[in-house]
Amino acid sequence: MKGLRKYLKKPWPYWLGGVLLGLINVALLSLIGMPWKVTQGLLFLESGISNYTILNIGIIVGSLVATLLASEFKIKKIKDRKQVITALAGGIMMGYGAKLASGCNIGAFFSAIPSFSLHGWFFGIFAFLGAGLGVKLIVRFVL
Amino acid sequence: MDFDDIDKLIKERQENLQESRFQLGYGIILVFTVLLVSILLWEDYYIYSISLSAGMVIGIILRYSRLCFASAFREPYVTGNTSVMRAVILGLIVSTIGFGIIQLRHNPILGDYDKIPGIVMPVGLNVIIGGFIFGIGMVIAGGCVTGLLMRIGEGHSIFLLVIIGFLLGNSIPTGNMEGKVIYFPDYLDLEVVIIIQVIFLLILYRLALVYEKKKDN
Repeated sequence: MKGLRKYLKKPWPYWLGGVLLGLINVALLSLIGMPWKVTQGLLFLESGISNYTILNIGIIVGSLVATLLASEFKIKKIKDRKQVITALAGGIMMGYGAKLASGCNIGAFFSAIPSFSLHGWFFGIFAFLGAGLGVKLIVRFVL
Repeated sequence: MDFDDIDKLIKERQENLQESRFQLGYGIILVFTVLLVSILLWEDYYIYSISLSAGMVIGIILRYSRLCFASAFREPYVTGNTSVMRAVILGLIVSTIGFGIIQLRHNPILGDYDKIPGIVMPVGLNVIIGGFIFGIGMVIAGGCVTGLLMRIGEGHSIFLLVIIGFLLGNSIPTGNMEGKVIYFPDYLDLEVVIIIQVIFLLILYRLALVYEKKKDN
């Protein structure tokens, strides 16, 4: 029991996470004919609850499960005003970007590249460039 | 330290242990609840059933591996570390092969991109500008969209605000910037496309590794 508890607290290596996410995406495509997407499921207020809304709820529950199994669950409150501003500003930019590109880092990147569609590569390249600018902005204005 | 302090410490540790036992128990109950709901949905709502359990598995993977797409794109700039980025590339290699096999079996009708298993969409200015803004946003918010769902499950309340921001941003109207679908198998055999893409991803993996070593020195 003690060994199990220790095992449940242990993080997995990144490479394992990456490979498993790739595998589950393939499983989704072969089981329900649709790959993994996130944005579509978040917009349930406009377009109603879809299977992707259920999938997003599943992700939150799964993360909660993993946190509980590691006995690390704790509600963390918002720290300060700066955090509120960066959270809102970052969220708005992601929301607008995802609308323009019709997808987020999952639908327009992680599921698009393996679909052999050029738009996935473009999203990836430009999101990487944007991240570089984001780092500069954070260093300059937030830290 | 006198005996009182030691007593207090022992008591505290026991309480902590008890709390962690509670959490483990709740975790196990939650897993079985989700699986039960999935089984109940199976017959009449097959797609929902699969989505729910796949979502839970994804959440567990994300949380245990601490894999975050925002840090995959951010860390090469900040620390020069590319381990998360390489993990994402590995995921793309696995799914390129998997999606490729599914598409090979599908025998797509040319030009009918909606019917192709996967996400095939036009590429144009919209993707370029959208991707760029998204990239800035995920670094500023401290997490991508998947990462924020994962953090909410961990108990970080700040990420609820990121979702509100996301919904606000998503309601801003966008102009009409039409693009063109570029689906590689339109130009080359799908088998060849799969092999080229896997090789290309392997090269990217290698480049990321070289970059990391160079930054280290």
